[in-house]
Amino acid sequence: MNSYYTDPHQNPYWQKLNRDPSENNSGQGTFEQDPNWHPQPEYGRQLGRTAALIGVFSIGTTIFFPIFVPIIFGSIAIVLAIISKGKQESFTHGARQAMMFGTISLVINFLLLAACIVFVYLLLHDAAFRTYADTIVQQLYGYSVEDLLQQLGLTPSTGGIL
Amino acid sequence: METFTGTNDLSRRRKRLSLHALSADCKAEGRNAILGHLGIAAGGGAAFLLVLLLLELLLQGALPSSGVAAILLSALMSILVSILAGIFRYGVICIHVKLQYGQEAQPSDLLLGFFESPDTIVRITAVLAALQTFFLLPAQIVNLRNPQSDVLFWSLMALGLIAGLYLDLTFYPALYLLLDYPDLSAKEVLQKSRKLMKKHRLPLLYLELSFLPLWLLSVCSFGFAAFWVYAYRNAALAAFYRRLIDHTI
Repeated sequence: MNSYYTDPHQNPYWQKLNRDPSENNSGQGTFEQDPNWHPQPEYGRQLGRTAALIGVFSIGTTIFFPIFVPIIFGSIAIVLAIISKGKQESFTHGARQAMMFGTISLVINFLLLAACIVFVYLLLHDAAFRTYADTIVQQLYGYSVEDLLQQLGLTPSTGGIL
Repeated sequence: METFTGTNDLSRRRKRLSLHALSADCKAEGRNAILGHLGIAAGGGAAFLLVLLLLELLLQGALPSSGVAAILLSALMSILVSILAGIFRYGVICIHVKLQYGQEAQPSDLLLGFFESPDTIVRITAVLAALQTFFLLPAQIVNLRNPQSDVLFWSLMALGLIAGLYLDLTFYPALYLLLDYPDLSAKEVLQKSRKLMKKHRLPLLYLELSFLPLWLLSVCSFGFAAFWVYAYRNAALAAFYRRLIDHTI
């Protein structure tokens, strides 16, 4: 049973709003199925491949431009993969890859985003973590965490933002 | 008693399953219709969304910040924006209905609302927008008179939104009907869509809600994926209309 209401006659209005000109003063509806139209599974496969390419691109941008760019491309890859399914029972090979790459990219980049938020929170609120980070930043870049935070407009006090 | 409860559970489960099946069928037909025509389907929707955004920005810029005048002007402007949006939406609907019936859609179809029965579209959208604005008016008046009364404001707002949702569901096929039967008057279209949607609001609501995960994904993509999600949703709604008018729901 595929439809919500199986009996088309349970709503009496169905008989009035049919496409029979004798019963409906507006006559035949404008739209009729084009008899020459046939479903084209090739379009689905093409779109699936495009989605897979965007998915791979989102994984690639995770390395070079992490967080925002890959999240955008990962989401687009998933949406296009879903659309590429068409009326088929299952996803095409490309669409499956796009779903996989898009999901992996989204998970990695949301984890990165969460890690960044936790890192900044700890820098602002945890003195011990700030000292630890300070030694590493001093070794790597030659300036303190405090300088870095001031450049960003943040203050490592009791947890406030400037 | 136990049997009665069991039968009720079973019928409820069957109803839920068939709601899901109808929604899945409409979505599959929608996907099938836009495959190979994603450029015009997503492009038309994107143009509509950009026009809507532009109109909203103009509306925000032109309004005074507070007071009775602001509420009245805001109500009038939102009705005006809805009317203009309705004319563009007619074009978007035309593209999706054509694709649903396997016909070729043209970019010029997007402006069809300006040439084909614009007066009827204006009448239909004006009535619906005025009702929508009217439903939200009590909450705005309460907020103006007593900004501290949060509970009353949010209760009235929730009631207004629910009434607006009911109105949207009831008159969802209005513009589709006008496109299919251009000779009908605004009153006839509204009457027919109300009767057509009788007992079919729940399946439509289910279909709309089934797009929530994709809308969330669009938010994650900072709105970029929304162009394709909007096209997909419109295609599924066109498939729902086709089932509605072909008596296959």
